[in-house]
Formats: sequence, structure tokens, C-alpha cells
Amino acid sequence: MNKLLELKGLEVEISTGDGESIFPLQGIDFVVGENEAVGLVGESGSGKSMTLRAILRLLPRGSQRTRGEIILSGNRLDNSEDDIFETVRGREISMIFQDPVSALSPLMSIGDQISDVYRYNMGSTKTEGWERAVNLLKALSIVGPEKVARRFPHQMSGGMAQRINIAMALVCEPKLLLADEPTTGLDVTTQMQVLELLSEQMHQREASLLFVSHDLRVIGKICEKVGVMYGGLLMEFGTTEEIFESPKHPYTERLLECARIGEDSEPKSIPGSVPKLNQIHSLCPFRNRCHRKMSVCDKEMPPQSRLNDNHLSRCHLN
Amino acid sequence: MIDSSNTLFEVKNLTKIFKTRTALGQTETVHALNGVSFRVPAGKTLGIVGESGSGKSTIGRCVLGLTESTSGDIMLDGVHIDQKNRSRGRQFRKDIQIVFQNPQRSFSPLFSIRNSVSETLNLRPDWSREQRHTRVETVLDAVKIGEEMRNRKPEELSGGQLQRVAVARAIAPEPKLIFLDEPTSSLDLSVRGEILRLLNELQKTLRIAYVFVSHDLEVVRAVADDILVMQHGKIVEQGPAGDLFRNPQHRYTKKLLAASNWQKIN
Repeated sequence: MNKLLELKGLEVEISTGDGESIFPLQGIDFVVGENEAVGLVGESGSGKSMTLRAILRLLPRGSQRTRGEIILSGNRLDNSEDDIFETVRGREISMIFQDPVSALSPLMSIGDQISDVYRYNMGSTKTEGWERAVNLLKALSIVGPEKVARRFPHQMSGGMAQRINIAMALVCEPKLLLADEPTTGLDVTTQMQVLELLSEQMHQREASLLFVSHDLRVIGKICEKVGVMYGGLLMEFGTTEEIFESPKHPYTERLLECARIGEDSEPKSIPGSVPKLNQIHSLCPFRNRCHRKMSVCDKEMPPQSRLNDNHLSRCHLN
Repeated sequence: MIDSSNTLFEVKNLTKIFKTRTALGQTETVHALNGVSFRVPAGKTLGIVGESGSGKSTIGRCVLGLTESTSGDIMLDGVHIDQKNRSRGRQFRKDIQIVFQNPQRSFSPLFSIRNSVSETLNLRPDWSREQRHTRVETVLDAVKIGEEMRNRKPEELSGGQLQRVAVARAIAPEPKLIFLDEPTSSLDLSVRGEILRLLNELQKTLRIAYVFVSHDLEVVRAVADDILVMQHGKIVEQGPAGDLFRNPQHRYTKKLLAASNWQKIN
């Protein structure tokens, strides 16, 4: 497998203004291969979205990447100048967001929005951009693409609007698409359609996908690999099959139990709450909720151990 | 299957038509609910699944008296809950309570947890001040919200804790039926099970009936005795939860089931 994107020890710090800091990412390492779909799961505040935002330099005000490397196709992205990075964002890496309607401009037609992205990044003519937009809508199985291109976002349903966002993200043929909970607000059946479409397009274009969701089922539907995040750390990373069938980290185990509601068993939960992120963890952040806690957990931070080529876990058990 | 002899709550032929005006001044009618009928016995749960716009929430609005139905009957304990009879409406409010999807948005940010719960007890003018006081503490105990949290404001609680308070607030006036509108959709996976278990426990001890609305079949399966599948304002399939999962009949139900499995898309 060729590496497309590599994150090495990514750390982000947010200054809260009163001299205090929050550390939402505390050293994230993983690889997204070429033509591969990777999912990130975890509870709210685990750092999933922050990871995507750090890659695209879309971090909220007051926050900065303090350490770590972001490498795309062998080139360091993190230390490039802003104007050079501009040629990467949108062209080589693009992103879709959770709320499809508010991600679109209410003042421009669908066709203009898609073609604008193309014209800005590729310097094409207006006609060329518009043609591309219409073709892309057609490829995304939108009925009457010419007509839809002339419509405005408020005339779209959620599922339709998300397809428009996918079109906008794909118009420059990026190598990597970042998706932040793109189907969370949609109905389950619409969600399926959007996921099928997304998966099909990624395969056709041989592009890679980094997909964030709190819904393990959704991740399982389209991703080959999964990273499980907790308290700003990557707890486990492996193929979807390994993670779902034989998880090695207790947190992954518990999360899967919660996600799988059986017919006869009681619905499961994880007692306790997510850790505060006001300092760099010196011990495993999950230890106080862990059902397999050992005495060593109160003494040392578990290292990230490599169980096989594709499987990483951060736990003293491994 | 639901036994009709101990029906607590019954909806017969409920229809709701919305009239909207288009930009050209023409009147358009939308059948938000089209002849919906179901029964819920005391202490049982009816799950309602369906896509947005299928009419799930409109049922809730009609049941709670937040909107007037076009036609059809809504009966609690064999008595009509009639919109037009306002004084009756108030009486039913203590009998039917609701828990909303987003707990952060269903509490006044200015009220403490304790005050939010005690405000609901205005629906029980028949109780003494003392009784109401004790009731607030009892229901907060029941949902395991500790003493230290009760004087806090909603923003100081997590989503899961706040949803437990929402459940406490709903059970406080001793309702017969609680309408649960996607009560776990905005919560993290790690706390979803806690709310579902709490609801099941409370039902066992208090014999409250639930109408549980969700777009997630798996969640509904964990709580519902019977399930109703809706599409475009109509019921397309209805039956005991187990049967519906084992042997779905309608195309839409099958689609819903396929969407909630764990298989990879090819």
C-alpha cells in the first residue's frame, strides 16, 4: 500500500484566553493509503473533527498546531506557506461537513457554487466550470442535472444538499476527501444512498477518504480501516474487520458493546464521563472508566504498540 | 401482540392536513397524517419509525395538543382528549408528557435543575407544597441525579445527565403516557444505553406507557413491544417488534432494516 496521507504526532492547543489551555489533540499518528477509506470514531470531544480541521488548517480561532507532521504524498504540508497550502486545499484535499444546507451559500445557484470552486482552483472559463458542474450532478444520480444546477440551496432536501456538497468537494478531482459526519443529520435510508454514492465515487476516482462519524455502523459500511479516538489520543487503529471482530483495546470493546443493541440483551453504556483536556495526559485517559484497569495504569502511560502491520493499540494489555 | 382489553391510549383515524400557500397564491394541501390508528396499553411501548416528513412528530404534536388534528379521535383511558375543550386540555397535560431529542435545548438556561423539574408540578395543583417538594427529590433520585447536581444550571451538565433530568421532569407529575421524540439521537453511544435502560426500568416500576419515536430501528427494538412504520403520513407496517424484525413485509421496512445492519456497502 502506498501512503497518501501520514500524520505523525499531531498536537493541537487552544488558548482559552484566561491563560489556560485545552489540548484537543495530544499526538495522533496514522496513515491513509492511496485509494483507501479510513474512518475515525469516538465520543464527542475525542478529537475526531479537530484532526480533520488540523489537516486542512481550519482550526478554530485561538488554536494552533503545536507539534507533529502532516505529510501528503511525501511532501510536508504542515510547514508550507499559506499561499502554497491554498493550492492544496480544494484541489488535492477537500472536505464535506455535517450540515449540508448551511455549508452552501443561500445566494448562489447550485451550478454556480460548484463551478466557482472549479474556476477558482483550476482557472477555467465560466462555461467549462458550468459544464463540469452539470456532468458531476449527473454522475451523482441527480435527476435533471441542468435544472437542478439552476436551483438554490433552500429548494433542496438534506440528502440532495449533501450530494451537492459531495459534488463541490469532488469537482477538482482531489486525492483525498475529508468528511465530517456527512450523513448524521440525514434519514437512515437517505444516509444509505449518500454513503453508497460516496463509496462508488471514491472507487471510480481512486481517491482516498478520511471519514469521521460517531456511528460505528456507518463507518463499517464504507471504511476499510478504523481509528478509535479518545481524549485526543488514538487508542486503536486497524482494519475494520479486526477492530469490529477482535478489538484489542478495552475502550473499543466497550464502544462496540454500546453500538450493538441485541434483541435480548440490555442496552450497554460506559459509566463515567470523558476526561478533561486541560493538560497533556500523563496516564491513559480511559483508565477511570476501564473495566480492565490494572495497577500499572496508575503509574505509566501505555505506549502505542504495533500488533501487526496494520494494527495499533495504546494499552498496557497489548 | 397488543391486547385490546387494557388499552390505555388509542388513536383512531388521525388525519392532519396542512394548507400552505404557494408563491403564486394557490393553496396546496399536505396530508401530514392520513388515517393513522394505533393503541398503546398501560405499561407498554409503541415504537414509531419513519423518515423525516413521514408524520412521526405530527402525531406527537396532535397527542400533546400542540396542534389541532383535522379529524380523528385521540383517547386516553376511553376519554376523548379534545382540543376544543380547553379546560380538559390542561387536565390531560399531566397525563401525557414528552421528552425531546436535544436536552440542551429543552431546558431554560436560567433555571436550576431542581427548579426546572419542580415547575412541571404546576400541573398538579392537587398536591400540597410539601408533596411537590418531595416529588422533585424522588424523581431526581430515580434517575440518579445526585444532590450536588440539583442546584446547577443545565449548561453545567453533560448531554446524558441532562437527558436523565428530562426523563425525571417527564415522570414527575405521574403521567400515564410519555411521548419520547428521538430521546437518544443527540447522545453519545456511550450514554445511549444508560437512557434506554433507565426508560425500561422506570416503565417496569411505574407502568407508564411510552410512544417512542426514532429513525433508528435498532434503538426502537431495544425498547418497543410493538412497532409502527410510517411513510408519507401513513402506516405502512405495524406489528410486534420481534415479528417485524424477523419478517418485514413492506419494501420500506426492508430498506430501513438494511440501513441499520452492519454490512459493508460493495
